[in-house]
Amino acid sequence: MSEDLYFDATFLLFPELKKTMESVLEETGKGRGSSEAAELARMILTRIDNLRGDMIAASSRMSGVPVAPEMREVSEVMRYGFTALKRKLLDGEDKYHVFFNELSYETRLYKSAFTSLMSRIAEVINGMSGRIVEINDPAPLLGVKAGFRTRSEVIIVDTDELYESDVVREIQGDYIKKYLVKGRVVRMDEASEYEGSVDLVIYTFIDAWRMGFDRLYAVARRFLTSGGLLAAVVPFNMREGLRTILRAWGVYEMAHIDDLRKKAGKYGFKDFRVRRYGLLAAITAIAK
Amino acid sequence: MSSQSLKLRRILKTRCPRCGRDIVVEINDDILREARENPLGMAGIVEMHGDHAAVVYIDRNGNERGVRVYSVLAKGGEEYTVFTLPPATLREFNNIAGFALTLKKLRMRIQADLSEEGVMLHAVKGDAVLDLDFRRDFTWSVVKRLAGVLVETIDSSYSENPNDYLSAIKILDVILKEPNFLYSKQVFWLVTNASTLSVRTRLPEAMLFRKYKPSMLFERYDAHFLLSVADVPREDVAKLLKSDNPYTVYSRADALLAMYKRGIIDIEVVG
Repeated sequence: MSEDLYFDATFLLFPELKKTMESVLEETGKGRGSSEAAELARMILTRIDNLRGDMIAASSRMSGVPVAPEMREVSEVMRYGFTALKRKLLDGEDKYHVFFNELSYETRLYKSAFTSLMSRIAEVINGMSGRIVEINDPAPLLGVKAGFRTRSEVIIVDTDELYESDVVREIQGDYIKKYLVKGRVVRMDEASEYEGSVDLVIYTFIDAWRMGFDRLYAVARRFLTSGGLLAAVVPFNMREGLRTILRAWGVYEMAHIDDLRKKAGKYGFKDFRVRRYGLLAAITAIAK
Repeated sequence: MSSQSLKLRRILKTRCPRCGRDIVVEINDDILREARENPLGMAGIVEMHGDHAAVVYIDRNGNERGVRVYSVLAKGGEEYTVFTLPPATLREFNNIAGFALTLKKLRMRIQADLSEEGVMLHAVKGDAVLDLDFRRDFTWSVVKRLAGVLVETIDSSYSENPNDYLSAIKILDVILKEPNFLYSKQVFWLVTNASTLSVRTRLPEAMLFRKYKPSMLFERYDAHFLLSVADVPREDVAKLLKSDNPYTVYSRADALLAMYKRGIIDIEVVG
């Protein structure tokens, strides 16, 4: 499947995103959910409306073209993500959002990205007993697997919103326990003791992406020791319609890969590497 | 209770499944707090109806989650029903050598291979008394804490099925070796109420769970058990947990809670 068709395929999710946001708007009108949820729904609905022409063009290009199995998986999981998002916006329920994260990590695109990152992790921090930080991941799978493999301590660092969710913190604790790694979950503001002492920083999905890519570089650099590795999965949302889909979760547009490479240098990284997997890219860089 | 905590939220009306009498309960802040603190987000409100008691279960949002009738509560006199389990019951236990559990409110005693001299730990909470003997030495503070959590959970359970309490003791046998186990209260609550609970799979979560098999669950729990839960629309918790092996009971209870925490299953009170 060509790269362009991945983006076209994301437009096919617009009708369901639209339905989700209409439902959010309707329910908030009945007093369920917050005014911010209503505002978000209005914003997404306006964007979808403005992109109607692009959606029709994409549907026409997709007509008769078989959708690759990996894209079918992304679509199916993303549809569930809309359901999870709606429940989070209206009822503040986080458990479905956690499940959405876990499902996403089982799609072929993510599995390929994780395999690539894991092999780079093994090259750089092979055989050591170090320290890993995973940023804002309700289901920190890559972090605990890397921790298990390298016998490293795993620190899961959450921004306030994630840390204050009992469900998220409990499940993150389960990951540490079930993968038999030493570690803990800490609030971002209380993680200063780890600054400059971390061998690997990981971020992989929506809750990390929401922080913005500049901030993620800055945070990663703050934690990493010289020679430490940044390993991340980032979305190709510089194009529509993934851009609008991810905006529903508050994710802003990522820079183009060339810009990401330049930014990496600006934030004190070298040896920037990237591998693309459909709508995702696995990137790694080493702290100078 | 402070007057503020008694602030009335609303009135909930339901009907007793045994005698048909109307049940009217006030949902106040204390009840909602109890539900929030309960591992599965439920609080029980007991109403006596002569020869039986009806327990109305309320969730953390103040909605009814089922009504269950308990006849044993009305059993008169001082007579206890005693279940003496054969020594073979403890064959698969690694750490507990014998136990006796007395439940005053249910007038029930469950015991296995425990002599008076063998009591190494005596834990009491409300109407529940648990005496334990061990096969080996443990850190006293760990044993005391875990037995305390267990006896507290048993005291709040209304299950009439001795197997539920036996399952809880099986789990204690396993987690004595895991002193840092974080969710002992949740697991104990699930098993001590197992006969009163059923699991209902949710869609589309169960379908996606079967298809994508999230690594955390499928690598860390018994995949066959997970799929067997996801495959049926509804099943009794007691049936799902049934095993002679303490570790299996523990592992299954933990797996059910993991599925519940992700919204793959709901756990409901059986009426």
